[in-house]
Amino acid sequence: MALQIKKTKKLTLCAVLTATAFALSFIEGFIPVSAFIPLPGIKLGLSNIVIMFSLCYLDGKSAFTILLLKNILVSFLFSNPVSFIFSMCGGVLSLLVMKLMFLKYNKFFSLYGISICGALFHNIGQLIAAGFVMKTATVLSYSTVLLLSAVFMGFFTAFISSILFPLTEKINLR
Amino acid sequence: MINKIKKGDIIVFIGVILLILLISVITFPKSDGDVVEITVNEKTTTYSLFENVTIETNGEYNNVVVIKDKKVRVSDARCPDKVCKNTGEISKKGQSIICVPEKMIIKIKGGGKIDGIAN
Repeated sequence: MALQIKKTKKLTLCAVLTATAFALSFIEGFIPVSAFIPLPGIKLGLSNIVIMFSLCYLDGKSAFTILLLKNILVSFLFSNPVSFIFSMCGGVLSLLVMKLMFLKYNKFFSLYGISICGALFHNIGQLIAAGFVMKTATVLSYSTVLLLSAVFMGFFTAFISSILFPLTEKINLR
Repeated sequence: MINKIKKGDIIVFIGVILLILLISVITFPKSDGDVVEITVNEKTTTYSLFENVTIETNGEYNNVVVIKDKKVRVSDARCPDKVCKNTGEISKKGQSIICVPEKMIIKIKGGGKIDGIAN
């Protein structure tokens, strides 16, 4: 009985997290990042907060499920299936790197390092995908812009997460 | 506890900054270019940077590329993300504008006599 309650709780939490990630991706579109940073192709990556949360308090499998569902919802509702492949390339690479880094969480890395690396590998994954689609390495000329933005955005999401995560510990989520 | 920055974070941060510096030093645009290569769907057309022309790319979204006053820009982007248009003007050798949805690459090359032999 207790196990069943635990399972239901986890399922509900995953559903709520997926909805949150989806909502954050949607809201992100309304924030005019390019007004502050005049560079092409830059996003805040707010939904990475949710992915980090699920890696931190749940497990890799749940985090992957949330990522997959969020990308399916966002891509097929607001853009096209091609963007789904792009999002998954970035998302999966970033998830793998963050999962590995969470093994050393609180010992060697804090949320800041993990978030920056997550953003970094998200952009690297998308660059690789773009390279395959365009069949050229010219896309690498964007790497400086994308890497630099990853540092800023990673720092920003880590800052928000470091405020939010301790707050959720007061609620009996798990 | 959760907010404390750890040793690994600092290593990551310094590593990334060094990597960015290294890439920007390597890819820093040095000299003016003189040939514009526009590739759409793997078909390449070459233009001179010194002519003033307006080109329609004729891909899926048919973007408009303008070469004027030795500068290249995408003046009208009908693709969904508009990254190519927001890139702005390019004029130096090695710079490029890329539009992934349109499968378009605009690249500026040196094209001078020495470069021609080297290529």
